[in-house]
Amino acid sequence: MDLSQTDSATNTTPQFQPYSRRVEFSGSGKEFFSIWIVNIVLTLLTLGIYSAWAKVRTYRYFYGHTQLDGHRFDYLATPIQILKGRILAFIFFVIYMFCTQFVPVLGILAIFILLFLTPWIINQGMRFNMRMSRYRNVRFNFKGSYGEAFVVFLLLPVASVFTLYLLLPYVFKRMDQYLHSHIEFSDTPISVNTKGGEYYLAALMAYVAAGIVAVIMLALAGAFGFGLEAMIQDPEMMNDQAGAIAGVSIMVMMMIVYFVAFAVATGIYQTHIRNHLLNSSELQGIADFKSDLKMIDYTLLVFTNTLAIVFSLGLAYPWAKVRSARMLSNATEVTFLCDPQTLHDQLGEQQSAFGEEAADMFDIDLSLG
Amino acid sequence: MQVTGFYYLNNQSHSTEVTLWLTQDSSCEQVRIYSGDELLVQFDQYRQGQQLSGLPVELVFIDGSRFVPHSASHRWPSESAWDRLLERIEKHKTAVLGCVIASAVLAWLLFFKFIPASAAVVARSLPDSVVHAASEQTLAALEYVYLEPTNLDEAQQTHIRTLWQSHIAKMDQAPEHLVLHFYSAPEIGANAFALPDGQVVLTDELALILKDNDTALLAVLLHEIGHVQYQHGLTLAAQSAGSSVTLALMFGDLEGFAEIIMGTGSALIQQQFSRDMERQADTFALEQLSQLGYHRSAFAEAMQALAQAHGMDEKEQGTLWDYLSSHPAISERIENAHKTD
Repeated sequence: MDLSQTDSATNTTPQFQPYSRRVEFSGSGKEFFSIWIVNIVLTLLTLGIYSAWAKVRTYRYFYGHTQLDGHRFDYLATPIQILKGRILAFIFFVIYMFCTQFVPVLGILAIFILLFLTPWIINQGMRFNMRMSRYRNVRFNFKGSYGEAFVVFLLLPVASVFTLYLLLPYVFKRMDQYLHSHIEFSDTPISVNTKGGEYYLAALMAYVAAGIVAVIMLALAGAFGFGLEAMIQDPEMMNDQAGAIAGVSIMVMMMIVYFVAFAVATGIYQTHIRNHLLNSSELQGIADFKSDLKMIDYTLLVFTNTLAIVFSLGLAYPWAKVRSARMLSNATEVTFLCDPQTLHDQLGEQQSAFGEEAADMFDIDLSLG
Repeated sequence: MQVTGFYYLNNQSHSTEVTLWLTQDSSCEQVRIYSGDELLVQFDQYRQGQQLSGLPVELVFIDGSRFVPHSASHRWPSESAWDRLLERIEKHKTAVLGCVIASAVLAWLLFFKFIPASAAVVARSLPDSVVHAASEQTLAALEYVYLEPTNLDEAQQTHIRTLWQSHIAKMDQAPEHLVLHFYSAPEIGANAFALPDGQVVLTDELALILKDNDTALLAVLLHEIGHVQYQHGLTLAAQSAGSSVTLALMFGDLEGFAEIIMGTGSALIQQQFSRDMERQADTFALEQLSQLGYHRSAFAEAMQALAQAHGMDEKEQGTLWDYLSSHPAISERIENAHKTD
């Protein structure tokens, strides 16, 4: 009775033992800095046109240095595809800026058009990014629908406003679920079994931690402020200059408090959600994912990256990008559930077929980033 | 040339550990791929993939199969001169340092010279109908939010209008289509502003505080005409749009706080330009006052009255706040009016 079942199981995966591998990132901050600064010079010299080539070089660098089980990821987009998308986005942006600055009524209309285009743009962006991503000679794909994207990215966020944002963590859950469960690899969609409760927990932890940090820092700042005030009591110090300095220093203090609280909240929320999302995802029958990002490590990373970027006037950006990529890669583990040597790129096989041609016309990158 | 690496068949994840032999003589190239001692396949054509520092360069063959070398530093004879140049620059420490300096200089040229200059050109070349429509829309929006019908009586209005018209007629090169509007603006207080198409709005509150000083009122109106003359409003708008796009292209995906900081920097630059424009309009007003035969100190009187109306001590300025402000310090503007008198 059970014979047929066991038979087919052994047929499809003859003596395959699942095995796990960590994702590795081999890029270096120094090397990427060179690539990045050359990109910037050429982008400035060409008044932005080279930015399409720059983006391809940057993505290829990060994909190519990400390795799993000895194989590198590939980024396949060509600069021309990126350039086309940027020209489109640029034209829309100019029209939009023109409208809002000079003809506000048309500007409002443009916002509405953009709003209804948003689900399409999100789908298009995901589709493009996934199709341009390849691992082991197999490309990823994304199959979203306008209707579902409309509900998840427009209706639910608007609805959350009416619930005093209490619905928001659930909305984020739905967004993540939408974006990830429509990704396909070798014709298999990722199954995502995330729980709304985890999103509420993450939001709560982020809020509470940020609140505690803000209160502690404000208390310290208050103590420091009293000291300052005592000094200013000295009548000779009590001039306009001192008043202005006090004003500016309060502003700077508030910015620092905001920054620290923001970094703590971001670190906690993103760590919890990333771990939960990857741990609840599986590429059915092909691969299982695991993420064990450490909350404190990641929060410190967010914190130090921002400080470094700000105080180096942007020059630390490549270093920050590389160390983020390294930490996130090292926290990711993939278990192969079938022999990864036996997969097929379904996209490639369909591509000669009809229908894809029309879709390829829109295979352009619509993001400005 | 002998290289080891992975060989992938078209559209399949299957990879084979292979050794690739590339032989080249004057007439042809030949690629032979061996798995161990066994010859898997051979090609007489190949295309190399894009080249990037620190990454291996793949070969793609006619049947869609690919070869990816294990060595990240291996380069093929077919590499393009451009790729080689880029990689050389990226590997050369002095060249990289040169790029850091060049990018700073180029960014400065772009944000402080090129974008402002092209914004001014764009502002000047916009057709009148567009400028007019834009101004109408802006005024309508302001009317909706801040402006209320004037409470000035007929006599006052006629008096100010006569002042305005008689002096515009005497000006050498007044912009066309200048129109004066009166509005009550309790939320804004004593103020005046100009729209790009030449409409100038004077608030009741300002008319009242300068009611006994016609020359000071004229100085304020001339300042606003200066904004129209130089197309300041449109230039600043075009400039801010240009800067935002350029920043987005340079940094792309900055996240969170770093983005806020970069945005703040860009806003501070805009304020700097805005202050320069105010100074230019001040100079215009002072020059016109002299030409019309008035004392330049009228402008200083207007500034003092404005500072008083807004509860500012004219000496209080000249601090860090100046860098955050869209207008130069009142003290500086007053000093300026007295300086070349």
